[in-house]
Amino acid sequence: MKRAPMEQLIVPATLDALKEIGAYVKAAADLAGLDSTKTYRLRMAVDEVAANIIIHGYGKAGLVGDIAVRGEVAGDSVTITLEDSGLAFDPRTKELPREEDLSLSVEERAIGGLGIFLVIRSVDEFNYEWDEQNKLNRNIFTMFRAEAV
Amino acid sequence: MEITEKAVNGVQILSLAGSLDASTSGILEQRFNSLVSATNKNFVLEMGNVEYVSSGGLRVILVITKKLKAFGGAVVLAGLNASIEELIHMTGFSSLVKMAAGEEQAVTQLSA
Repeated sequence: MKRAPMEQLIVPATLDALKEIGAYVKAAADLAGLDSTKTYRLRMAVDEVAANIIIHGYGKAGLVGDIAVRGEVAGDSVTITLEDSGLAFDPRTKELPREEDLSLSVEERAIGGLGIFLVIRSVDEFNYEWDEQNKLNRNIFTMFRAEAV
Repeated sequence: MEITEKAVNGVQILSLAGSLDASTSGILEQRFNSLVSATNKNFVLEMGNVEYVSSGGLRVILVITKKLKAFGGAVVLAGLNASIEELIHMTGFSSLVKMAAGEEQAVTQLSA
């Protein structure tokens, strides 16, 4: 089946842009025919990484820039790519909470640290690329319409 | 994120509408902090009109839960959609916070 790219969205890397990014991902999921659960999970994965890029990749690093969002619907899948020129960061290198960390009591439970865990748990495929030539981070999320085998 | 507040039987109800994410969770945290006290320590977050919660939203829910527990109170999340309920289970939050189908049931849980 022919691949159908959506027009890319370019937003300033500010927290206010999360809403627009979320709407774009929902539109892509609709085009791909994802069910509501998969749509939510894809939106959440993209939102978590986008928030990290805005807060850590740009904000705390004292950098200003944009995030480019691209959606592509293939036969049975949808792929979202986030591209940014903030600090280089591969989310896959972040240490994730362990199962026992998730069953701690209210008093012991750590605040935060869930974002990347949710990304890994939520999408069917997650990849990261560093574009050395253009100095860009590329975070790539894929969700299949049917359950991944 | 829109928040409306009311009190029923000594329980503070915050009705939320919109997304509870990195860009909006600070609004909820501020509103909560302005209301919580040693005598106002039982809260319902009515989330029937919340379509999306991210880890930023969970962070604030945990902050609220910790603070209310320290006061001897509790929070109940009411009216969660299926995807948000799945998120609560996926993250182990289901053992930290109480949930109810709707506002009335949530108030009953806290008044019992």
